[in-house]
Amino acid sequence: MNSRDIPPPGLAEKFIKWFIKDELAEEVLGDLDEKFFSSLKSKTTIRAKLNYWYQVLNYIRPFAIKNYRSNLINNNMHLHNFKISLRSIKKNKVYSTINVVGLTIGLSVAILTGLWVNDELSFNKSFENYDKLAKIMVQYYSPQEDIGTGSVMPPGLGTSLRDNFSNLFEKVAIARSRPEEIILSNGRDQFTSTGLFIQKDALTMFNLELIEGSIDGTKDKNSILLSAPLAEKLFGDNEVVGQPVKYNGSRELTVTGIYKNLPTNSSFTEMEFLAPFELYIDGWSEVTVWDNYYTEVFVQLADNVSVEQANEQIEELLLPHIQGPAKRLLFVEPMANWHLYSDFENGVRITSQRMKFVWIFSAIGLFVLVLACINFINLSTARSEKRAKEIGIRKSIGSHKIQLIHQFLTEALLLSYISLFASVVIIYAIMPLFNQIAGKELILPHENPFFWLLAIGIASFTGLLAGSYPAFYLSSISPIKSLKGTYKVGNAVLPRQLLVIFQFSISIILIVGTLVIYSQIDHVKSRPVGYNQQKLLMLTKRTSDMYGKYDVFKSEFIKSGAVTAMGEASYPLDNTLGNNGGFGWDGKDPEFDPVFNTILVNYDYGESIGWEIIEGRDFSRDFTGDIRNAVVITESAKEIMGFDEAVGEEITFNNDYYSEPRVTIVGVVKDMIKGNPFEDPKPAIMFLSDRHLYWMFLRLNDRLSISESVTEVEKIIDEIAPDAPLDYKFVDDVYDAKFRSEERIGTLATFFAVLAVIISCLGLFGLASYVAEKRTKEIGIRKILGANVLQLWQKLSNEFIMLVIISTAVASPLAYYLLDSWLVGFEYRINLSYKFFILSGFLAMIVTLVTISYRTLKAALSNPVDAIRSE
Amino acid sequence: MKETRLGEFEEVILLLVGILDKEAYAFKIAEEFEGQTKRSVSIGAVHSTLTRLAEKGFLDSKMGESSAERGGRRKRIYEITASGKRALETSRDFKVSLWNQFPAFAGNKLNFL
Repeated sequence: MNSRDIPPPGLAEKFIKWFIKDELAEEVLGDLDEKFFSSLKSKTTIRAKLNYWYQVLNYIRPFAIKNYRSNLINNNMHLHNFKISLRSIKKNKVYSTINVVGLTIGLSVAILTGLWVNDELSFNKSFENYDKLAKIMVQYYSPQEDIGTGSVMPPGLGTSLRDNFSNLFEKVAIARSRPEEIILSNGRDQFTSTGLFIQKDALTMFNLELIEGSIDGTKDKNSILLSAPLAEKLFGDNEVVGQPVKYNGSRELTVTGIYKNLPTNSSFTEMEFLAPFELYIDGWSEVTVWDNYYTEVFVQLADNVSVEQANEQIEELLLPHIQGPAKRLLFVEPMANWHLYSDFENGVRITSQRMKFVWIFSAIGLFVLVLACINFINLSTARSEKRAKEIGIRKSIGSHKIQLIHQFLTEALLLSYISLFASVVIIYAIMPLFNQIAGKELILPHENPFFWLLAIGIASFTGLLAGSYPAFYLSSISPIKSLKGTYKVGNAVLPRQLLVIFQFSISIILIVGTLVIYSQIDHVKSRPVGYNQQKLLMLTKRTSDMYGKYDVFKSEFIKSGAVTAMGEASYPLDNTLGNNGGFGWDGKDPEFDPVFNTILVNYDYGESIGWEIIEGRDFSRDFTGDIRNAVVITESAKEIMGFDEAVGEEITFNNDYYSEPRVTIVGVVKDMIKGNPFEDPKPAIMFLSDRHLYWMFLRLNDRLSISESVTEVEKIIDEIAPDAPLDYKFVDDVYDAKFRSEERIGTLATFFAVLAVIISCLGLFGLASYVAEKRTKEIGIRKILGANVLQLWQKLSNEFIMLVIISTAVASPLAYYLLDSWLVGFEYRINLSYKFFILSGFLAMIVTLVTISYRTLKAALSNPVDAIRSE
Repeated sequence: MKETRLGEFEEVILLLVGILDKEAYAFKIAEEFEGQTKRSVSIGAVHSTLTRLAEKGFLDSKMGESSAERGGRRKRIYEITASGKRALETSRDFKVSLWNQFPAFAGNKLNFL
């Protein structure tokens, strides 16, 4: 019997001895030994030992485990706790409702903000090559100026990276640096579509999914890929691939494929079409050009190449192609940084506006949830006097403190699970609305077990947090005191007041925030823009047959009565593109080289957009010397140049885009707000030109309706330039759109502020009810002694009013700090005056009084006889 | 009410207890099961079923002898009770009656008894 020398694995034996029932230990261990020695005869020692472990683990069954039955008793206890909790919830309907509603709102906000934050953090992550993708960025170092950061490159850089740096970059794609709006036509209808001109490697880099067609087709310069919705718009149910589409009214392209829309949560989500970059530059530029900056360069890093390695080798690639003292250094910006980490200030990466919002949202979600927890804590401790007797009896018949804690925690958890259920239902219902406000496409990931785990985790945590204070506080009540009736909740009042102050401070901060955000938006919206945006139409000349017909257009438009004035310019009214430096004037410091927004305009531009002349005159055909010799500058340009009298002064410049090196200022106009309305106006110089310019501006007749005028305009364009696609925008619409993101913040702030106030008021309502109930007898006696309703109401409300005043005092500096740092982001902004804080405090006060008055007045109005007789 | 029907595994175990007679204890039953069915089973699973069958009243048990292989520990010997036998018979009769209603076999006059 050699095998007897090898004992069964000791650890396994210890383990089974630990968990198995004592009465089973002998027979089971015997069986296992027999099994072990019998397997030793036929198997190796290792396998026999493994088998022993296997047998041991297979004994982890209810029938064999020690104390399993006593666990059942514990289950009974849980069941008991559950039953008592349900009863207590049912019995105190008002308090339970307040708690459930509060917690539901809190959880809903927490889950919604959680989904939002998750969405922000997972931006672009759906791209398969997420870790490898990057774009090239550049930092500009110019003497005496802040370091600028940008991503606009000359196409030559992209070509060079592909040809000479294949050791670093597996793929390179040059793209137009911003989405382009083009007109696509199927022969009958035409659609304005936004999309990207990009080289074909991008399609595999961003693993574009084609529904139909193939990527190979894009080798041809005259090809285009359409998104599914655009293909549907253009061709309906008909065959799409291989069909021709007309591009900007002239060139014919072949549709080579339909792609599945890129993920909504990504940088390229809104691209309706993808067309070859080579098509975009056809006829005017080359992929080898180094002196024109109009592209972005996307790269896919080769395996085992780090961002740092790539940076080292490409950093100085632009230097041979620039002159002067300025330097431009390149770096690789990985895709992971694009969305949340790509804000730079003077060359240094700063916390981006978006990242700030991620923080703010997380904080708000958490705070609103905490507010709901506070309600729970406050109401439970406030009512502890009522429950003191129950606890006394439980304790005197032998309940342990730990069992009472269990009881209270069960109650809290039950409430929070009910609330979780309710909030999931509510989130389902309001998701579309929330998405609309937040500009997102969030969905409740109900198929994701991790989400549920997290949701239940949060609900449990909330329940424990909300229930912990009452659980530990109430369970420590002395049974003798509580049964004798001498128990008083004296020391719980102060923490309760602190919690109320905390709640109201948060609410007041949110109220101030809402007020300030809306005032800021209003303030900017009503700022003078320097021209008249009403009924002003912007048109682009997309096709060649629109050129050279300015006078015909003008006379026809005016004749029809639909248009009262018409002008042209090289840039539209909704951006500040076209910036140049290199200007000189009398008394200029030679080191100083400011950049001006420079646009070419025709004689009628000023009249058509209605700019406001404050000095000198407009361009005029009456002055023959105007052409190529006269400029109009804006107020801020005049300020920069430092003239007292600008009219008559001369400006020189070294750019050769204009034939004369010297011009004279004939007029000064008010600053015009064209770009970001939240920024200071850009100083601008308007050059008079007799060339044909790309943008037309039409002032529609005030006396006709907009639709009448537009129909008339369309008719005239169709007559004069039948090929031209109709592509116009209203200046006021475009301008309003610039406020969307700020308005979105305003709406969200309101949303959260209202919810926070509701939660706080619910809590206050509960507390007021409790106080009124507790002081019933006092009120009765006071009433008999002659107090009137007003006095009683004051008496009962005083405490709460004090709390609101303290909260305002606590919240104001915090709110000031937070909002001040928000406002600093805007050049054109309101002053953060004390009025906002007073108004918010006042609002909070009114809401408080309304909330508690129902209860306090009811108490004050009740018949004192009932109150005193109540025992 | 205790569940008194027999599951497939339970029925086999119950029969094996009958077959093994004086040697019917968990380890031996598991060995016999593996031998007869070529299916592997853990002693724990068999033990759990034995306990359940005992709870249903189909088995009775008492502690038996010890041996050296068992480290001097005694074993628990199981024995079929009268109601256990009845349960087995009911189960067999029910199946036979089903077989007899199966036309393909009933026609061949196959007799299982």
